Amino acid sequence: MPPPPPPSDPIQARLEQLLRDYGARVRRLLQSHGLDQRGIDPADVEQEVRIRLWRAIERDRSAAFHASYIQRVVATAVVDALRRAEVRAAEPLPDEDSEASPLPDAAAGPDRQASDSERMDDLARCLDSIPERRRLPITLHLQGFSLQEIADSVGVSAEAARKLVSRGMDELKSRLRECGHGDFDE
Amino acid sequence: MVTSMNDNRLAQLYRDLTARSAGPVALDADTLVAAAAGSLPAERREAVVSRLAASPAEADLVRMLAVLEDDSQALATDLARYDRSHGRRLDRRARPIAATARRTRTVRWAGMGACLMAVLGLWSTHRIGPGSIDGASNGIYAEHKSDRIFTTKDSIFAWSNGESGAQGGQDKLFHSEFNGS
Repeated sequence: MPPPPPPSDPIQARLEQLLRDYGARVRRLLQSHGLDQRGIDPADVEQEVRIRLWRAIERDRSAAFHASYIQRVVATAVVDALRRAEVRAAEPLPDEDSEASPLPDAAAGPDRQASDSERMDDLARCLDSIPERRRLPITLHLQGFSLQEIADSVGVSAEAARKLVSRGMDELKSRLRECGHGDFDE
Repeated sequence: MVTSMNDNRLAQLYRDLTARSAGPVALDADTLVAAAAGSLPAERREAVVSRLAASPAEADLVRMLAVLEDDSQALATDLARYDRSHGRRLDRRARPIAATARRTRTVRWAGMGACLMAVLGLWSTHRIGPGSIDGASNGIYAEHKSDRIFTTKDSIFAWSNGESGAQGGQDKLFHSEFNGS
């Protein structure tokens, strides 16, 4: 299908281009941050963000749009999409005799699934045994936050955050070794 | 069972563990934006950060929002330019549009008034028409009769005063009858 003809009003066309570019950026970031692996469709979120921004502009043409407002529009669209995905995941699976029954993941055999489950249980136990003050920087680090982000979140300097994370990870690995998960390749 | 794990594998294991146990999204959009901007209020910071550490989806979203902040700022600046240029165009168009709206309102009210007058006229015509009318038409008729009676009385009165004209003729007849008797 050919693309729709561009609007004759140059200002309108410029606005549409701005929202299209921003939406495309949102979609790329959703993919690069792995949010598309959580049951949401980045194209749907992109569309939703563009529609919400467009409506806000049409509703009040004289309003000033701050960056924080635009950020909230994106956050709300993603949160709504995540919640919808959770509802879909909680819906009952189709009948066993249905042709659409999902195939098991070939990469994750029963042995590996059992092994991962055991490791997760041990990891949870080891983390619980670490005091809260040291646990939080470790979990943020494992969750993918940078040292600077951890420092900002915990309210310490970047250097202090680095030490907290380094010592905390050593402690965690030591406890995991005690549980039988002995070798860590750095 | 002794297995080899590096930090990445450990991180992946932790994210799988938290994805399994995190539950639904708990933080609202305002909180997520504040966390991305590093502007969480001190009294909420620990609770929010603990939640982010325990929820990979919310952690991913906060990191994404932090990266998106510059783009959102650029879009806000561009939209402010759009508002100004669009606002000028709107001002130019606003005056004729407002005048047209005023004219339309005036015509609408005049039309409603004319309709109301027509309805009242029709209603009053039906009220005094031939079918409903005994009292009203009798009243008019009685008034007309009374005028004629009054006129007769005037004639009689005129005749009794011996005035000229028709009454003069009547006088003659009366006189002839009188004379014949």
